[in-house]
Amino acid sequence: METKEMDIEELIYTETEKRLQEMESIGYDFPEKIGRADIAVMLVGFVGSLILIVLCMMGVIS
Amino acid sequence: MNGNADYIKQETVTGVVPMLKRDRKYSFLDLFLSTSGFAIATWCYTQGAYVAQFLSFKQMLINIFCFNIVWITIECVPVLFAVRYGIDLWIWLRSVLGQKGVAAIATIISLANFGWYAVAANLFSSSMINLAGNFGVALNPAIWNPVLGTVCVVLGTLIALGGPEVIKWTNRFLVTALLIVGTVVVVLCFTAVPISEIMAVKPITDNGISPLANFMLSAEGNVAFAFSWSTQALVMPRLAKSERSGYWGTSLAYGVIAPFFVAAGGVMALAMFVRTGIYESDPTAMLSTLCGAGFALLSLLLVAFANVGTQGTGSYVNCMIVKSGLPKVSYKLLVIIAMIYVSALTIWGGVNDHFGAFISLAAYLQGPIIGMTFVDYLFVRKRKISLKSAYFMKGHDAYQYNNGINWVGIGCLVISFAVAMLFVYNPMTGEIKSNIFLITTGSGFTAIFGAVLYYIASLTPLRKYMLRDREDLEIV
Repeated sequence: METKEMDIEELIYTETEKRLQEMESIGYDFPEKIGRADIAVMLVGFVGSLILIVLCMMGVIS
Repeated sequence: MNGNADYIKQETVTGVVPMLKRDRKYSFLDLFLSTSGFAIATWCYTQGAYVAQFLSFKQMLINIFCFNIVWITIECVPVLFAVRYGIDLWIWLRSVLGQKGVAAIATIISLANFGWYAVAANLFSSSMINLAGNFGVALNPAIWNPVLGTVCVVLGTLIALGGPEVIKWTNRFLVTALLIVGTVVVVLCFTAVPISEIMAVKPITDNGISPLANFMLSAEGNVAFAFSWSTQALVMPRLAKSERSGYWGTSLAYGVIAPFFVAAGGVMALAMFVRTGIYESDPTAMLSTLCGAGFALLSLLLVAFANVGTQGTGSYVNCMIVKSGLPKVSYKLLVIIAMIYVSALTIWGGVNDHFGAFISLAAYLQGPIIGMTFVDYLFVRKRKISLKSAYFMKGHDAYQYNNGINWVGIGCLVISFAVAMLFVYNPMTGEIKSNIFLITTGSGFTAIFGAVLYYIASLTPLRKYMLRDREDLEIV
């Protein structure tokens, strides 16, 4: 049982190490990054929601 | 050899091994539908019906959608890192809480999270009993509540055991159907009761609480609702193919789709109030009253499928959270243990009886983690961690701290929780203890205070303790 657990632990360790090495290599292609338009949409949603919340809190929207 | 290859594949998909770009299987639509399938459950209607009582129609919609959008936007920022490195939030949190700190907090939070699934199972059983009653079949709740609730948990467990591929295909059909039914239900409500009458319903204001306090007490429920996704939100994005699909697939599901079903619950509760004078939250009872017994069959989709889908995805996500702290434990074993635990909570029924207090208490634990993660990701560690230390590679021990615990992170969490409970809002008693609650809500306060404490700590000599990984940033 203990040997099996050690094997599994070693297996996970070796595979993780291999994958981290691959990510570290110059040729590794990370997933495509988020764009500025996405960040702009996030900010618009965030700020717009905050404004509506404040208007409700102030009683402007009742 | 094949056994090892299969095991590695399993550990990548249902374990903590980093997922490389070539392994990713989820498009925007897959992630969006799977996450939505997780988010849509009967508790949405419970939440909507509760908010509908205390707010005008316009304020109800703003309260539901805007608080969710604000907090989900913040919570989902670290999705970008989860997609980039193919790992989940809890791996990053090893840098904030330490190795053993993560194991302890992940286990505590998952034990709390599983309470949600007991609530879903309880709602499933009571709705099914109501539905049977509509068709003249009287089921004794004392017997059938635990039986049907456990059936819901077991069906969800079968989905979870299938892993992300089964979850993906289940949700492709399930969520599409749920979205159609949800829209139909809202249209039916507006047809059954004129929209002018729904909009004219006056909120309850004679409970001795000011309109602002009513608005913020309703917001407390919605913020806690948004927070409930947080620790679970960053497990599935590691399956996404790009940062864009990961971010929008996650944030639209939690920030728009889940609130849409909360709002649907609110609209149904208002329509029921116009028709019967009672705010009702059970979709089966609402549909049979508003549209006739035949339409109550729609609630089979809304209640049965939604809750079973949520059980399945929720079990996968929370077992992954526990696995990040206890990587050697088999995923299947964790899913089975979760099934037994949730079944026991379902049969007990106590979580369902104290739903409001339960979601706020769970949110008080998750709030400081949301705040610290956001600040750590953007301003303290500036989007760079030592992945080798996070995975405890030999010679990389930046996140060992003191016997595996980062006392700064744990301290911020404990202090934020205690200050909010003692001085801002006590969710157990519903007592507002400070006017700060009227600005931030109690759950919101825990996130903001946790973030501020953590950031201030990073400006003191503690910075050296917190940022011992700066010489070990090899993968960026």
